[in-house]
Amino acid sequence: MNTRPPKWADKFLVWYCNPDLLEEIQGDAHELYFERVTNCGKTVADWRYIWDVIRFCRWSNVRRSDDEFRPGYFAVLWSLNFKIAFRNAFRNKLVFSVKMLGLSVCLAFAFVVSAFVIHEFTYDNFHRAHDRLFRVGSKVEIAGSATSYAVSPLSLADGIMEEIPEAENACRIMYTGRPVFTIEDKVFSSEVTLAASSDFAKIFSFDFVSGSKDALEEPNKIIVTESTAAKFFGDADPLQQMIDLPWTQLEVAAVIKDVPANSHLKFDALISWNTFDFYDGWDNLNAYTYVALKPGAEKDDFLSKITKLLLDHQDEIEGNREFAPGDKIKISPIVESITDIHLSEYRDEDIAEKRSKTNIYILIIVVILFFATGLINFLNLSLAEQTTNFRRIGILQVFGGASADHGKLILTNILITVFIIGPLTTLMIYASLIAAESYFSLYIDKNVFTSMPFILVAGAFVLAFIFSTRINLFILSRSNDIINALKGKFNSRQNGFQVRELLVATQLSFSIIMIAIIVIIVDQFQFMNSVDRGFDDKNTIVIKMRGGSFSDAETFQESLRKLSGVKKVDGSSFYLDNIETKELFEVETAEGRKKMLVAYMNCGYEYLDAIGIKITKGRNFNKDHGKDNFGAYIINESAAKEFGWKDPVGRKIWGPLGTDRDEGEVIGVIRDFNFASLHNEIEPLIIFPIAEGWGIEYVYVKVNPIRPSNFISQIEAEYKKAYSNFPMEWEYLDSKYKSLYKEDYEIKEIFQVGLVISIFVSCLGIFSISAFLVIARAKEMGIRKVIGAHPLHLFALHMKRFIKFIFISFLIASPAIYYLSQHWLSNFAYHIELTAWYFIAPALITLVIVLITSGYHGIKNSRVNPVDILKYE
Amino acid sequence: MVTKGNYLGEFEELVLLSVASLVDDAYGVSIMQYIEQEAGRKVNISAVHEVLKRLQRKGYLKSKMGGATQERGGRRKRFFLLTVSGKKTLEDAMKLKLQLYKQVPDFSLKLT
Repeated sequence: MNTRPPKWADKFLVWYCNPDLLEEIQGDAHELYFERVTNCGKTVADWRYIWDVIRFCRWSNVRRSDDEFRPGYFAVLWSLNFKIAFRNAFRNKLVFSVKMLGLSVCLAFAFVVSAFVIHEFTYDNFHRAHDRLFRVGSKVEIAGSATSYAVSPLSLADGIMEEIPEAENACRIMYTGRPVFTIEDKVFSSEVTLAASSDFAKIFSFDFVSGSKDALEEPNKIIVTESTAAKFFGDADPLQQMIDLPWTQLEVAAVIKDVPANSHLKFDALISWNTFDFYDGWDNLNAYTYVALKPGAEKDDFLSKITKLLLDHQDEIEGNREFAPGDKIKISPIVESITDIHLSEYRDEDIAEKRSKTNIYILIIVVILFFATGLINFLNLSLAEQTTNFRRIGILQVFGGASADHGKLILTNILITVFIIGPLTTLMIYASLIAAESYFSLYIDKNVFTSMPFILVAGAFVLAFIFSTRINLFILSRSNDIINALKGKFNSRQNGFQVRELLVATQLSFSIIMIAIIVIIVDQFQFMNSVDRGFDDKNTIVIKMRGGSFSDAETFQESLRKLSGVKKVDGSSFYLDNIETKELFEVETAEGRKKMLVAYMNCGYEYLDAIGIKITKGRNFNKDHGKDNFGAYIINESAAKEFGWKDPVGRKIWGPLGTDRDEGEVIGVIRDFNFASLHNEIEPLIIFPIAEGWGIEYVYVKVNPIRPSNFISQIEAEYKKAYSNFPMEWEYLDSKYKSLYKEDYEIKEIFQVGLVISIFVSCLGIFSISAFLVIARAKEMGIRKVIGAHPLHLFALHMKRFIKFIFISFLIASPAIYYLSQHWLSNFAYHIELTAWYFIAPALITLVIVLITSGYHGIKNSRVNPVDILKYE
Repeated sequence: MVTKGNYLGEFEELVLLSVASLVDDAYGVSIMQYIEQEAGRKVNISAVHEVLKRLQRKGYLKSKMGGATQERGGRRKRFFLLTVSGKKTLEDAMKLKLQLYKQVPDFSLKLT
């Protein structure tokens, strides 16, 4: 026979058809073809063959699957899997809900914390050119001591553009504080404002809503963020509106979107650089310089060139410092990538939002702990649940259930879990984000949840989840257990159980770690509160002064002194984290006069009394001593130590150099007080009285605990009399002190929530495990009781296991506690010491919790009636 | 794979009956031709295959490959046989139909 079906149709059939089905399909098609050739002729046969091939092209023939011709039981069981799973869920409502709730609580917490961590790590990633944006700070060495500043000379940006070819753009920014804006008759003074040069928009990618990108080129222009615009002008179009500053008038030239939460620069308005008349010298170290390198340019090339650039201008940098001609001032650049600024070490005069890296790493560990806790709890409970389902698995196996069918079983479990966990977790994440914003003022950009790292984290977790469920089933499908299960033997010595013991111990150890860290954090906070700061921050109001003359401030203070409820009032340049500015002083040492860079503050005569700083040697400033005004210094104990003075009173100090102060004498020594947070060591400090020409920056008002309820408004009224233009800015000193520890409080809050969740989840785990134990060992208990065991004995037997858990978990937890707490405590210059109790106490707490949770079943266990159990045999 | 219960569709029943009556010679083409010849109904071969597969999944048919053949390029045929449960289902279905048919009063049939 020479006739053949069309070749291409045949090939097509071979291509799509499942090889297992090909022979019979092709055979039948060919048989029909040859029959038709003889009956109806070749053309008709060809066409009908093609038609057959097309009709055979169905999913059931295409699909490569091997179960098509197996007996149908598995298909049926597979469809029943869902039914069985749901039935189990309904039968063990408690275990099921515990399982789902535990997993989703852990997941939600871990996801929120990881979103926070990712948020912290992706600072400034939204700038399009973020990988080639750098900030140039400066390391200044004077008289042998080096200080890192975030700022650099004002001329640097121009210098870079002129002399370094690698730079594409450079811009400079100056922090102009919170100026007083007047719009018609409304006054605003809480907007953080920066002065920025015209290249700002070319370097940073803040989105413009309206107005031109060249807005900053002309003087007297201002760019505001959307929310600031809404605050200033309401619904009116902000463009071309006029805003008054005390000394000039600004025109709104553009509106930008609010600064993203993950920007290290936080501002509400930008004023064009040329509006101000800044002194442009190389010795004016006050600008934040940002550089965009050309694509492909090397950072190292840039670094060496900028180092040279600064060396070239050495003369100008030293230029105006004629008061210290002999000193070498060396400035070297600190070039850091814009994405690193948020997590890098602290630099002086930085306006960037900073966070310590250690805390972030601790949080990463928390995330991992919680993913693991959730997973372990879930695995544990499903192990326990499935062990009771051994018989069903046994039957499946007998019917030839190979791995593929177990795969389906797993898939059903995963699907059901995902269907319930997914929405539940999303809901919890959403709720906790709202809670985080409203209670802890932690803002997380919602975009984080769709960012690549977050998807990776979530994906990794899903993988871990799937993988671990596989392990779970692998343990369960051991043939020995199956045979035993079918025989009706069901004992607690099964392999699954040992794995479970280890899992529970790990989970418990996480709880121990959380408890220990929380205890350490709380203790550290208590330590910080109890430690003698050297001054009294209670009942103290701090009022920020805005310019104004010295005598105005004096009158204002005088008027406050007359108010009832006021104890003491005086001014100072000191404000908690404000003493960063150091000046050159000359001090008398054993080797003669020596120049030193020392922190300083000036204050009124009553100030030290007002905030309770104690004088240990010598005396306080006194108005009656005519010389005090310009000839007296008070130093702190650290300074005395630093200068090598055994008996400081009467020693000579000159400075700050270059001011109207010259020679003076130390009249007293104060106790060291923490003028910054306990994160930092107490530094040497020189205090001298405020005088005309120095201005008063802050007025401190010490008040009676019992004071009129309208006290603040009384002060405000006085303030209005003195400075009619400005709204009064004030704060309680103790709340300001707390705000220095904002980051630590955040960590504490995260750990507190984590602690509750972790204890909750392990309680769930322990509870259900002990429930399982009771079932598993019921027969044993029955026999023991028949033989004559005392209920108390049975109770102890039940509890023994859990005490073993605690012991194992204590061993797992201890190194972790040590490592984590050492890291966290190293953030503080003054911190508590770790003792053995920090390890033992959490274990004991966990023990109590475990005993309570498992005790319910322990009692049940001991009261078992042997007749009920043993009569089955 | 979800199967729609244990009852038989019309065409399924036809195929099942054909397999039963062809006894040892029930394979795709022969079943198709048998249906065409007995019921005068033209069906596509792929439809027959589909139903055979479905019946097998339901457990009503079992199958085995036959020996090599002369025609159809030496390809083997897959022969189908009724299983016990297939036979029982078929009997049940027939019984039900007969039972229902018997209850039809004579006059109602005459009316048509």
